Amino acid sequence: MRGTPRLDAWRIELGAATKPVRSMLAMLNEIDWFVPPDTGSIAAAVALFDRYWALLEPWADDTMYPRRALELDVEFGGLDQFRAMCANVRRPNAYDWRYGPPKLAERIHGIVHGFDEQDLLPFAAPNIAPNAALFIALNGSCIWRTPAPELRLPRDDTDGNARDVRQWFLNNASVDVMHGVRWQFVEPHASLGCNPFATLLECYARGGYPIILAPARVCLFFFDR
Amino acid sequence: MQRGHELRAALHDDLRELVEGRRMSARDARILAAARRRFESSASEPPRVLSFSSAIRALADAVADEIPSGLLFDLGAASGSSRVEGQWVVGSAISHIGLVECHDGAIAIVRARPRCATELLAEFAL
Repeated sequence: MRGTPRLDAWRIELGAATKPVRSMLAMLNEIDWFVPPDTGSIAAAVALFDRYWALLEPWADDTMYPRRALELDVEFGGLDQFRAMCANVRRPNAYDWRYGPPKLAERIHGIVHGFDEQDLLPFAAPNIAPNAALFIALNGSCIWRTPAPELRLPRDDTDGNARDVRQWFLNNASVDVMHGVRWQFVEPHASLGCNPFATLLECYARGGYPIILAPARVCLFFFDR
Repeated sequence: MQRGHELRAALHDDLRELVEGRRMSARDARILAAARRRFESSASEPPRVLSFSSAIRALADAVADEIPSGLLFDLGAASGSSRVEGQWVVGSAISHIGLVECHDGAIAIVRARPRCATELLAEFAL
């Protein structure tokens, strides 16, 4: 499932990080979402997830388990199975990985590299160019644009969340990408392969959708139909 | 502007009801309550500018306190309610909870899901 790009990746400007950030956004625009992986992609996605974890680990606190202690299950299924798996992390008071180690790691990585949010502001665009700006500035704050392509998904009330679970996942992927953009901004000359969030994006591109069920338990979900 | 402590108390009740009714996460409620406190203190200091942009600044600061590397997103234009039609919503890309400046000058807490009518949830500032 391919969506309509919201951002023109090749018009984004972010100083020294422009080229790698454009590459990351172009990859996001090109992903065929929620479809079975190509031959060979399952092993590649598992390896990319491993790398994502390994790249985050040095920057996170001790709430993040080392990869060797992680129980990773590869699951296959259709939309119903994906919805059921995601329900485990969408319910109130569920373990919420995304508000823990990844964000903390990005913050610590930024602090270590002397990143200040204000450094981004010169690259804020006026809102007259909505598809060519990652963010706009308002009163000294960056207001980010959702970078993930727009998918035409039906309203889905089957799990009481009203939104199609794929849209929910994609919104989270958008946030991952924005963390990846910020990571690259503070280390503009580093390879994208050293950016955990760009690595995660590549895992998505290979058809692997990680769902972190508990601090030491991960499901890497693949669509099989 | 309505007296700050009255509105803050009303907002506190509204947020509690929204969380209890599962229309908002406890995290979103904490952030909005903290943003309201910040917004109110910014009103007591020069230059005493009470505007949508100062509300967004308060929200950004509250997000940063609650979530490491927390981000605010452009949620697009509100729709489906004459009070906020076409107005810019800023908030969470995950919950779609955000703030909007109403046509009457008030600032409201809304849920702005793509292709859905914007839901007015509570008053942030009048």
